[in-house]
Amino acid sequence: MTSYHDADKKYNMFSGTAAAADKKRTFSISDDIVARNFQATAGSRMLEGYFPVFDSAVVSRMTAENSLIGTTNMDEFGFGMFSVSGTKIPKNPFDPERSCGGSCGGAACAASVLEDHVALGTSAGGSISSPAAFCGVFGLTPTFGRVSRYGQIDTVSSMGPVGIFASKSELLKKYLPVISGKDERDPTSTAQPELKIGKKKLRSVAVPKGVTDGVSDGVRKAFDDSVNMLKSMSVNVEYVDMPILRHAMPAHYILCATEATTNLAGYCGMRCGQRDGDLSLPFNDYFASFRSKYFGAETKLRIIIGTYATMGENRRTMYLRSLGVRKLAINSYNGIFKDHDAVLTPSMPYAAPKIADAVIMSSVDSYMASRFAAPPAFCGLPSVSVPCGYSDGLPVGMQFTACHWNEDVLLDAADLWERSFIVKAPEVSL
Amino acid sequence: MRIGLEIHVQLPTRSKMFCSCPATGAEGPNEHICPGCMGMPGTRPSLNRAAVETGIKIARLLNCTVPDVAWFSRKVYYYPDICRHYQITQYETPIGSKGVYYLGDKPIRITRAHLEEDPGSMRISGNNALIDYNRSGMPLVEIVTEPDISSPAEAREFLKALLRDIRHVTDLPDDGERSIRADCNISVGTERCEVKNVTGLKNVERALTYEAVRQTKVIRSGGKIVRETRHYDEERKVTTSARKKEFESDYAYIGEPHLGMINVKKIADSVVTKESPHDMILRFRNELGVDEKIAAQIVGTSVEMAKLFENLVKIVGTESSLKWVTGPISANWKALEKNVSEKTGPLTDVIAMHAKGKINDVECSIRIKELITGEDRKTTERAADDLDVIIRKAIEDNPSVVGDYKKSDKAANRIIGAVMKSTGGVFSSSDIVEATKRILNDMIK
Amino acid sequence: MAGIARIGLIGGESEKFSGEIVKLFELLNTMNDAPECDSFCFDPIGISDALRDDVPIVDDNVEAMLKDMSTHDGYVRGPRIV
Repeated sequence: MTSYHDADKKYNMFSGTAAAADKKRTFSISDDIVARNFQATAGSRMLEGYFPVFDSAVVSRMTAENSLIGTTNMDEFGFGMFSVSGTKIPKNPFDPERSCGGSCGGAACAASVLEDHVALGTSAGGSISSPAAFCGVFGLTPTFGRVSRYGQIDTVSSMGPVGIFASKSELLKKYLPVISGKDERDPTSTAQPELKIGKKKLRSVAVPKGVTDGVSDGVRKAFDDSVNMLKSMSVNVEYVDMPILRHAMPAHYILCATEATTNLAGYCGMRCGQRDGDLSLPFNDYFASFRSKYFGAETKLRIIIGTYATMGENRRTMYLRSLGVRKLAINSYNGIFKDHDAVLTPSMPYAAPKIADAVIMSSVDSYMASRFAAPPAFCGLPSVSVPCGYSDGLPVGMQFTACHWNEDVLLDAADLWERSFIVKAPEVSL
Repeated sequence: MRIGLEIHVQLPTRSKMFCSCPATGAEGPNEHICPGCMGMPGTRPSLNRAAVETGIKIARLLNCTVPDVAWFSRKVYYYPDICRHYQITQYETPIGSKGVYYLGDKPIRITRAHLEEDPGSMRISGNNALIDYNRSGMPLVEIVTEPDISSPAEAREFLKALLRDIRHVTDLPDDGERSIRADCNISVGTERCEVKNVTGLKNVERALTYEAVRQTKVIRSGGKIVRETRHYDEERKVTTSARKKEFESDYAYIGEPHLGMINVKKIADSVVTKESPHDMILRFRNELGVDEKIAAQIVGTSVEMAKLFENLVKIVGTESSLKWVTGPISANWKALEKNVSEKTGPLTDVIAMHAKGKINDVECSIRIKELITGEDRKTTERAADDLDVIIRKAIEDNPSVVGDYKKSDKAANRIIGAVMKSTGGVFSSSDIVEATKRILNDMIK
Repeated sequence: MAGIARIGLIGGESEKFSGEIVKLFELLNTMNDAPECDSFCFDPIGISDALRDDVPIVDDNVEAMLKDMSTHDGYVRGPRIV
């Protein structure tokens, strides 16, 4: 079995590791999920030194039978699609010069490299589908509210359930029930109906028209081949209009930024994380000194936009309007789910870019890479990204999205797909 | 002069608003804290049902409209006492809106009453903040009035009555450790100033009085009042200019995504609200024909005594009930209060006997006293006889009192004063008051 | 906005941002022609009535939490106020 310490040396997926695993199955958590004895920084220098005094709900549920071996690297506070804005940059198992995707790049990398490993991560806008696609693994994002978020460091609060990365679809099916369920410590988890598995079959998918416009040739070919393969598996495929998706991206950006602005407001060198400031400074200067020094550029940019979007008249034209767009987008999806079991898109518009290119990519270009993965997360819908092809040796993924609470049909889709499509493992030499 | 208040009253829940930390009983700073009310990353709020229920009771007390559905918002501000740097509060859907509270007959309009969490409390040491987060996350209701209050004294009177009523409808005991703070808006001319965070009734009146005088002086000397936030210095008893007034739009509000929608109507339907003392007074006036001042006196002594009065009315009618409740029962209320439930029956029997003419006034009075104090009948009798004699003598010496007493019951004070002086502490003042009024009432019949 | 959010821009961030913000607003301005919706919800799944009973519990992590903060006589030390 691959030593996770050795794997970490080569791929840099862990932000912190346990000395040893004492149970057969190992699991990891992204750096924004808290566990006793593990530093939790959500990829930010701001939270260095934060050792939580409690376990998150998912860790409590998992540790009974599985060993927590580490926390995985991610973009700072989840802001990014390539895991290059955090404290450490994980490397893609298919080509270490390339990005693992983001924001939970380290988690996807761990699931890809370590045998039968279960990596938990969070996604408020494609942070599971993106790295799952880039690292060639399965990535399940449950419905918002399916899994207790108690112990999850909030950047965004109305999106971002804990999900699962694994190299085999059966692991998704096995571990979703383990981490799901109501928890009074997270009110958002109390609305869920019972999780049922094995009842629904994937029979019909809807593909938004023009979905492959502007994607790379490799992704277009892999996606078109996959659609044909689904048809040959007697899955009905229909092309549909979803005009609201055009507004979903800016609205998603605004909601993420406004919620993040409030969630990150408390980080100021007083109660947790960095605390090396000068207490003789006036309080505003004291807070600003930490926030200027320890927040990364992308985080600052989001906070600036988030602040702007709630001030004065902008509150109505930007913030409240974005909430309205979310409602319309949910309605639009629900209209499609009347006739179809899932919406199918590529997971990412291209295969993993070089880390060096991702680092210099503009903030907007990076954000727009989530144009398939973000809308479902925006709407709280469950989705699963599955490997569906290889472009110049790099994995390509496609994403099924189902209606609220219907993880069942996604697990069936992943299972069905895995039986016909040969998933390649990276060549790992340690 | 126009005064409007923003009053923060802590709610008498057992645990905090968004976490399970105990709301009372901390012996030192930072004892009742948890990762939740410290805003530690990874925690989230969980709303206390009792806070919503208490909010509904207070909204009803203020005759406010209670919304069918409500939600919470985050209000961002940066200060060392607030852990997350946002306060969870109600913005669009306060638990109560557009109400009115009657101070006697004067309506004070209530703009809104909303639920929110308290930040921690702060001490200043040198120039630095020392923070105790025991208070962080305590449930509050913030009551905002229209500027309908016309003097600092009235502001104090309003707060006193309001607090009495809030304590009553929320079952908060008199000694319950809950604090009240107010932001006081006052304008003598056209522009207003806000004195922030004044603690306690006395300080509200003092701060407002100081501010009224200050504003008047500024205007008289040809100056202009600048809209600003001021701070009340309890030791020096002056207000000083604080930071510039932050207007509401400077605060960023977004919805609190964790808590969802609260079907307040559903909760409200199951919340039984007690009648407020104020409403009780009005009901006594309107339904039982009791003079409002006397009704206020009865309810003011104790709501329990007022309930006893109501029960008596059902059996012996208003007039007779008034006679005995404002008389010997009120005079001995302190002694009766502790075991009122077991003595209500026997007291009612005695008064019913009097109403049927089976015993006379003096006998009834003695039996009531005997029942309440448990004193030996003979002592009571003799003392009562002696006292009656002394009082009758005093009235004979001041015959004009009887006529005056018809016009105003204050005239009794002349006799009461004289008897107190002449008997020098032999009789309790409550006995003298009771007997004097009983005798005078008989005389003017 | 940076001031309101209590952040300062350092090491070339402000130059970087001026370019980014122009591109960003091209995206955000597409919101201007977004259709109106007459209702909204702060979460995507319609959470309602998630309430807790009023039962006090003393947390046993107080010491562990305060250990990571600067304290004085049990109080948490903060920056300058006056």
